[in-house]
Order: sequence, then structure tokens, then C-alpha cells
Amino acid sequence: MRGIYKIYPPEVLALENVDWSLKKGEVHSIVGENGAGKSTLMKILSGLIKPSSGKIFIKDCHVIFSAPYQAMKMGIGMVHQEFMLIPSFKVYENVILGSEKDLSKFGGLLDKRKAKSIIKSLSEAYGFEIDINAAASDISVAAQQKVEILKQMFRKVEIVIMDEPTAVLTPQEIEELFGRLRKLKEMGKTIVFISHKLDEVLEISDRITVMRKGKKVDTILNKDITKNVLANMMVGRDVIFRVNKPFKTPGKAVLEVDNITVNSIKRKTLGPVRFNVYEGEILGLAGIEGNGQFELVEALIGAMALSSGKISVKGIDVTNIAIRDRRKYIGFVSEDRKYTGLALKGSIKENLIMTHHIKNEMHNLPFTINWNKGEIFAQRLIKDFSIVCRSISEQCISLSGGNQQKVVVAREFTLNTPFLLLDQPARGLDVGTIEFIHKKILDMREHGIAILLISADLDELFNLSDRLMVMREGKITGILDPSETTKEDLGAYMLGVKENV
Amino acid sequence: MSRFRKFIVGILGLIVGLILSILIVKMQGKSPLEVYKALFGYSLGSLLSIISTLNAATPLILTGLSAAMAWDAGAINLGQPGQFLIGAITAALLGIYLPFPVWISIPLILIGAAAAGALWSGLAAFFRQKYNMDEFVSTLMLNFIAEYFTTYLVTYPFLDPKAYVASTTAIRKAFTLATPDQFNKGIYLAVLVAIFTWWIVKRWGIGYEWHMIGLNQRFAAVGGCKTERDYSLAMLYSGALSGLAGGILILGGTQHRFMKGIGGNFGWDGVMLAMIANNDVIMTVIFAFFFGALKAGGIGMEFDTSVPSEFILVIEAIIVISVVATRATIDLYGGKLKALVKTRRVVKNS
Amino acid sequence: MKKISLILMTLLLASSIAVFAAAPTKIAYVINGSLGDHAFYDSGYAGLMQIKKEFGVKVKVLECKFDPSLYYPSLLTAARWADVIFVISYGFEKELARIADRFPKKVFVNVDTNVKDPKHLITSVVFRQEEGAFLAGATAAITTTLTQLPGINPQKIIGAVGGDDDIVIKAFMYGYKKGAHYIDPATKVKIVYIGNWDDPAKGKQAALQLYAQGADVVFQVAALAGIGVLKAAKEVGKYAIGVDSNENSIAPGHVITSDLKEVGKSMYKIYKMILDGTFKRGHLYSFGVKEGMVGLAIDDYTKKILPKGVIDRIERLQQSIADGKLKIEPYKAGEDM
Repeated sequence: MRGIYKIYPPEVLALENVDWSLKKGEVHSIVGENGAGKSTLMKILSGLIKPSSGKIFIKDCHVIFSAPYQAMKMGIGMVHQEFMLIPSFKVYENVILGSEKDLSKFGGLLDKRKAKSIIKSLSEAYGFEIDINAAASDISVAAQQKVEILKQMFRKVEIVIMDEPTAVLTPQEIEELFGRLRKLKEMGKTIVFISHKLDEVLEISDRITVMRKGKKVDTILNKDITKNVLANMMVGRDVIFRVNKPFKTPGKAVLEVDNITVNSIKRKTLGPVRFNVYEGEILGLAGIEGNGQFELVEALIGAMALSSGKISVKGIDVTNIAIRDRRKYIGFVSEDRKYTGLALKGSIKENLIMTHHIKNEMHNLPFTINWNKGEIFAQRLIKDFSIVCRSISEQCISLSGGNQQKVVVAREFTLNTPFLLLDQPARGLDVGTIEFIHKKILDMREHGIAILLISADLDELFNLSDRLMVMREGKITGILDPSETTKEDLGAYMLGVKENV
Repeated sequence: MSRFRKFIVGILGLIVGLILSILIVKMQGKSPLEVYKALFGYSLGSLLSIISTLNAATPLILTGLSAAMAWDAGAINLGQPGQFLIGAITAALLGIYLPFPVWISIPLILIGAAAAGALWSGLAAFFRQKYNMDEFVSTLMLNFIAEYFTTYLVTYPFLDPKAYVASTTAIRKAFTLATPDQFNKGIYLAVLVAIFTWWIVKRWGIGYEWHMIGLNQRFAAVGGCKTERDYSLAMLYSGALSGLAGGILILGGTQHRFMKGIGGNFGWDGVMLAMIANNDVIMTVIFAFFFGALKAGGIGMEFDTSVPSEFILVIEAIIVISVVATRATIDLYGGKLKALVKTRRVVKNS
Repeated sequence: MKKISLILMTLLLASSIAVFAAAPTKIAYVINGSLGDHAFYDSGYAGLMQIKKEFGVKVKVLECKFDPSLYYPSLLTAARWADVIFVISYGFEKELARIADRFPKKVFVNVDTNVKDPKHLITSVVFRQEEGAFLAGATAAITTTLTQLPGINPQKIIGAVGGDDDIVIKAFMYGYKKGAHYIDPATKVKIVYIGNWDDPAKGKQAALQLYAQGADVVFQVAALAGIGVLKAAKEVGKYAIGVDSNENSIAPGHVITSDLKEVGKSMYKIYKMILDGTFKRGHLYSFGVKEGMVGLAIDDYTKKILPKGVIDRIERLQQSIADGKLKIEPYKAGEDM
């Protein structure tokens, strides 16, 4: 790829003059912070988007892709971050979707037997161990990823692009994935691995390309580089991997969760769950997604009714009070800022005063909002949390992901609540913003706020938490001390191999 | 989007719409110049024309705001026609039977009309809260019920036996809000209500909560907005605006009584207005006057050029589509154009 | 006393002469509904076209399409432009009175209803629809006994489909019943009001219902919606009677006759009266069988259905109404039928 530019409308420069090459049979990683242009570059290679300028050559041949199927014909396939499977279809049906034509018999009828046998042999050849007759909705996330890879193999793809494949996996599953990737490499496939997790990149790649702010920093051989150098290249400065966390003796219990259970028709039940979060403590909650974290969050915030049990904050029973009243005691950063954390089409100002608008100091008459105060308040938060924006009237949708999350964090951290519920507060953000948010979280801890931190990022949990709690199938299966636990150990708890409660 | 930009986009859409309509008129073999001359002459060309325009705009301001307010709060109230009729029949009956003096009766009649409209939309809100029935469907269905119910009322129990069509008798003369020139003084009230609505939306807590709920209901709920209360209030307020529109038409319109079909297109035109104005209060009022002018001019256009006045509906539809499409196009292609220009610049510099 | 009235008369005459000093050149036709009904409004339009053709005047039509919000502005527009305004004003009589008040020099002729304005500026033309409906009722009552015709059952039941339950339509129904009972008091008359003027499907549905109840002949008084009645007659092999215009050809062999109401002819006549100075402003003109404005359309279509003896009998009946030998009491609002 030569001289690639991509400018997203209206004026977002995503890629700037990128030259990049891929050798047959290698595992090539692309690392960079969020928004560095990794995914954009690969989407261009796989034909999903068109470059604003620049050319692509395959074996010295200039190619122009205007749709993914054209890239596919040239042997390039991409496994996206969000899987593109139809939940009600069976595994093999998902695999052949889009290429049924090659499998037709009698001029139109699908030859299911042939399809199944081809896929079965493919699956065996690569050691995938997957039930091709299961419905896509019934299999685990890791298995769904396998299906996506299988899909590419079925299309006889030579170059497999994997966009952040490890983000959704547990440590054990990541190992499995790496094994599978190595096997693919042995069979002559070329693999592009997009990630921002340096350890993984160093483990799997032959060559590594570092990107920063839409530009290629360099491409280097794996054996020539260390983690710190890589991180430096990525961020453009030295990064502290360990957070300095002063020791603190926890104080009184702030959040008391007393044997709560949630029964719902569609989802698994939560509980009974019982735990406390203490003043000045960060309690980390680990667990594979879908093991009751969602219900716990909804129950704490009041969006889902409890079937039994009691929740209190600072001794005040909040079990049955409305969200509006509950928010006096609970600050909440949601895992999805787009659907819960923000009104993307609203202005920054409007987003920042949410929940604050209930407070008396925002009113001049009881039913009105004092927008002068609101604007002063918003300006202050923008300064305090270094939110980069043009004005407080700008729509949140035009902010970068990191700045959007800062808006959420700024709003929730200034509510003066004794308890903060943080659900994946740093997911999908670049290293700089993560650092910033982590620092703010520790500040809150300093101020004696009780914090429940839910995260899928084990590094984050280990770095920040005073105690670790593991949830599995709606129950607490372990309370651990992060200083005496290894990641692998935590993984074992998450997968249900170990329990200590 | 800034107000200025909104305004520009609106004007651009209008221009596109008018140009398209010129083409259609041409295709019909009529002279666009004459059509527009007639349109202008009969909407703004003389005092009588201006009165016609203002009279047509009066109910439109309120039904337009009715749709805009509900949608802004994420409540898909499409029941403006029904709420309008219920408000109108209430005003007509109160206007016939209220025995009180004028200064107390007129406010009572208007409050009654608004309350009746609110009751009608409140039914839909109640069904939603109680049985989770989509207000999109229930308000539409309630339109039919309102239409047949009011027709029944004026055909049987409240029929004026001397009238040649199904209608009530006229309201007491003293209650009318029309000048001898048939100018509907209700427009003052409509504008006042519009200002009040603007105040609620921009300055009140509930206005803020409505807007946030409309943008992202879950965000607002988690943020502590009283989503259920706000939803109900939005529906009630929206219904009250439509009902008030009906009431003002009875008191200040030309009929002074409820007759079959009196709602005309005011309800649906309001829906269209809110769509063009993107639920913005000020834009809704501006477009209400514009549509009022089209409505008034349409009769003259048909009269002078024998282009049927239904053509106004075509123009309206074209304008709706072109304003909405222009809005989207400017966002899309404006962005693409900027991207292209920047690519040129960046590539050249490196 | 006599003197005063004489002076008044002269004044009135003088004022009308003043208006018509120059012959009117612009005629407007304002209707509450829409053209294209093949009946009432179209009949008026035909009259307007005849005036235009014969006298070379400019004419314009304004349709209000049953939308009350258009009534006042349409009238206003017409009044500002035209010298003579023919109005079919169902529902906007009051608006008409207000407009006439503002344009006292223009000539307003209201057709089919009687508009009483305090200053007597509006001239009304009403039809003695009871007479035509009487003849229609008589025809229906005779036809339902002609069991030799295909589709006629032995029961003596006839029907009628009305648009709205309003005064004019009630007058029709009153006359229809009178006519039927004049022939045979034992004839059963069933009436349905459909609440609609422009949806033929509704008319058809109502007619099918009446036929199913044993009616052999159904009289439609529902403008465009009534076309459905004629279609229904054809579908079930029964008989219908049209209204306002000659509708005999719409379903040949099934539309026995049509109860004519010559809106166009009356407009033409009024216009000629304006020209020759016999027109009286504020007068109520009542047209009926005698003036040839109301009556049955008996043509070849009728002759193919009914035996000659029957047709003769009906024509004799019509003649005796025209001669004033047979008087039909006009319908009074609120009168029980």
C-alpha cells in the first residue's frame, strides 16, 4: 500500500501518507492507540472503505477495491471486532452465507451435505473443534470467533486480517487463539493482527507496524524491540505501566449489597449476591461478560427491580427508591457511552448537566434550569477534565471516543456521591485517556469515595483494585487480593475452574 | 446545528422545492410565473390576503407545535387531527351552552378545548403506560374514533335542525374572536402559546428532560429524569396544543360552530410542519406562516390559473421532502466535499 | 303604506338596474363539494358552460371539496373577482351571508338551499325536490309489483339510500314515501343514510343491504357515493333510480329512470333573467316540475325496462303535478316521516 490517505467527512484526517507492506506467510501486527488509523488502514485493504488517495498493489499489480467481495477474490478477508453472524442460523449456514452459489446443485438448490462435509474437513484441518450444526446464538464468544475465521478459510482467503481479536477473550482463550493463528501460519496463510495490547503483539508477531495519529511510525522486526520502546513509539512518550497507588486503610462500608437476586425472563438470574464496598476502596469486579454484571449494574442503578435483598448506601436503604433519588448517592459510568452514557446528538453542555440538573443550585425557579450556571459549570468541567472540543454547544457525536468518555466521567465524578459505579470506564480508549481516567479514579479513592470497578481488562483491575471480586453465573465465586494473585489464577476463577467462596 | 445553519438549510430546501414545483407546473403546460404571481397575490398581496394567510396559519402554529413538542420528547403523537376535533367540538358546545359573561367564558372555552385535546392524547399516554401500547398506533386509531364520535354528536344529539349539513348551532355571538373582516384574533394567543412553549423547552427543567429523553431515553432515565412523568406530560401538552387549535378555530374561524369535516388538514399539516422544522419551536412557527400563505394562496392560484388547489399539497410535499433531503444532503455531501478539499491540500503539502 | 312599498320596489329595481347597467362579464361558481359527481355539481357546471358559450362571459369554478376551512376564503376570492356568483352552499350559508354583506353590489345566487340574510342581498333558488321524489317513489312502487320483470319479488318493498341525514335529503325521502304510498299505501319503504357523498363503495354496500332485505328498487340520493347504488343494482339484477342528472345509462337495464334536478338549467334561466332585467334580488325562486326543473328522465333506457302502460301512467302523473292538479305538500323541517 502506497501513499494512503483517508479523510472521513467532514475533515477528520484518519490516515496520512501511509506506506505499508505485507510479506507472504508472516504474522504482522499493527499497533497503535485508538484512532491511530489501524482499523482504517485494514478496512481499506479489505475493500470496506475507499482511500481518499493512494494505491494498493498485490504482487506488483495495482488493484482498486470498491467492495469487500473484490478484496475477497484477491484472497483478502477480515474478521471484524463485531462479529457478523446471524444468530438464528447454524454455524455452517453462517459460514456459507454469501457464497451459496458455489454450492448449488440442480441449478439453485443448496447442497447442504456437500457444504457440511467441506466445512467439517476444514474445521478438522485447522483443529477448530466446533459443532457446525449448533446455532450461532448458542455458542460462546470464542467459538463465534472461530466461526468467523472458518468463514474466511472457506472463502480460501490467503490474508486474514483480525481486528482486535483478543478484546473479547479470556487469557486462556487468547492462548488458544494464538495456537490457532500459528497453525494458520504454518499452513501458509498470512495474518494481520490489529491490537493495542503490547504483550500479545510481542508474543505472536513476526513484524510489527506502529501507527500514531494516522501516520505510520515504523515497521520493525519483533526480535529487535522491547515493550517499553514499542509503547514509546506508540504514544510518543514514556508510559508508566504501573499506577502508583498509595496504601490506604479502608473505612466504613459505603455500599452494602445484601443478598440481592434478580429474576428476569430472558436473562440469567443474578444472585444471591452479598458484598460491601468501603470508603476509599476500589473493589474490582472480574468475570466473563454475561455472567450477571449487567444485572448487577442495572439493579444497583435502579433500572431493574430486585426480586429480593437490600441495597443501601451510607446506611440509607435505596432498594426501592426511584433512579432520580438514587442518583444522590450513586455516580455511574456506564459501559456503553453511546446508549447509556451520553445523548450523542445533544450538546456537550446538555450532556454535562444531566443529573446535575436535578440539584437545587442549577435552578433559579424550582422548575427552571439556570443555564448561565450550567454553562459556567460545563466550562469548568471541560477545563478540569481537559475535554478537547470547539465549544460547549458542540454535539457529543463529533467528539473523539476518549473525549466522549471524559464527558461522562467528568459529569459523574462531580456529582459528590459517596459511591461510584464504574462499568468498563476505560474500554476502547487510547492509552493517554486511560491514564487520565485511572488517575481520576484514584483521586476519587483518595477522597474516600467507595468505588466498584467492573472491567474486562485484567491489567486495569490489577492496577487499580484494592480487592478483586469474581462473578460467574450470577454469583460471586471469589474474593481475591490482587497483590497475591496472578492473571492466570484470576482467569481460572473467571472460567469457573476455581472458587473460594 | 446552529440556528443560523438550520435557517439557511430551511431556505435552501424551500428554494429547491419551489424550483421543482416550477418544473411540475411547466410539465402541466401552465405558466409558473402566473402560478407564483397568484400564490403571492392571494397570500400577501392585499390586506384581505394577509388576513387569509394569518387565519390559515393560526391553527397550524398550534398543531405544528403539538407535533414538534411530542416528538422532541420522543413521544410519537400522530393524533393531532383527532385531538383537534375533540378540542373543537368541546369549544363549540361550551360556546353554545356556557351561560357566563364573556370575560370568563372565553378563557373557559379555550381551557376546555385544550383540556379535551389533552384528554384525547392522555388516553394514548395511558394505554402506553398501562398496557405498553405504542402511541404511534393508538393516536392514529384515536383519530378515527374522534372523527366518527364528533360526526355522531353533530348528526344526532347536537344537530342544528335548520342547518343543511351536519353541524351544531353557532356559538354565542359574543364569544367569537373574529373581527368583521374575519380576522382571527386567536392568532395572538397562538403566538403567545408559542413563546410560552419556547420558554418551557429552553428554560424549564422539564423542557431539558424532554429533549434529552427524545435524544436518548435510556440516557435520560439513568441520569435521573422522570421519564414516565415527562412522557405523560409531553403527550398531555401536545394534545392540549392541538385541542386549543381546534378551540381557536371555532371561536375565531369563519364558521363559529362545529360542522362535519371542520378539521380539514390542520392536524396533518401540523405533523408535516414539525417534520420540516426538525421539532424546533421557532422554525415551526415560521413554517406555519409559510404554509398558511400557501394555503391561502392556493385558492387564488386555482382561481386565477386553474391549476387545482391540490397542487398546493404537491408543493407542500415537495418542500417537506426537499427540506429534509437538503438537510441530509448538506450534512453528507458538505462533509464529503470538505474531505476532498482537505485530501487535496494534505497530499499536495506532503 | 302602498306608496312606501312602491317606493321601496322602485328603489330595489333601481339598484338592480344600476348593477346590471353593463351586462355582467364574470361569473363564478362556488361549490361546497367537488366536480365529477355525474350529478348535482356537474349539472351546475354544464349550465355554467352553456352560459359561457352563449354569452361569451368569463367563468371560474371554485371547489371547496367538503373542507370547511376553504369555504370562506373561496367565497371571498370569488366575490372579489366575479360580478355574478352562483353558490352551492350546503354548510356555509352563514359565510355566504357575511360575504354578501361585504360586497353588496355583487349578485349572489344560492342554489338548492334558502339563505335568508337580513339585507336580502342573496337570491336563493330552491327546487321542489318533493315533486321529483314523489314521482320516483311512485315509479318504484309500481315497479315492485311488476313481478313479470326479471328480479322482481312478490314483496312490495322499495328502498332509498341518502347521503347525509340533512334537510334536503329528508325532503327527498318525504316525497319518495308520499309517491310510493300514493300508488299503494301497503308499499314498504326502507331508508338508509350512509353519511357520505363521495365514496361509491359505501353507497354500494348500503344498496346491497337493501336488496338483501327484499327491496326491488332503490332510489339513490347520495351524489357520487350513490353511483355505487346503481352498480349494486346491476350486480344483483335489481333496479335503481338515479338522481339529479340523467344517470340512466350508468347501468343500462337496471336504472329505471332518474329524478332530475336541473341545477344547470336553473342557473342558465337565472342568468337570462339577469340579462333581461326580470331578475329580482333577494327573491326566493322555487322551481319544480311545472318549470321543467324537476322531473323524471324517461328515455329509451326506461322504455327497455318498463312496459308502455306503466310509462304512460307515470307521465300522466308528472303532467298532473305540472298542471297543479296534484299538489305535493312541501316538507317541513322536523316533520315526522
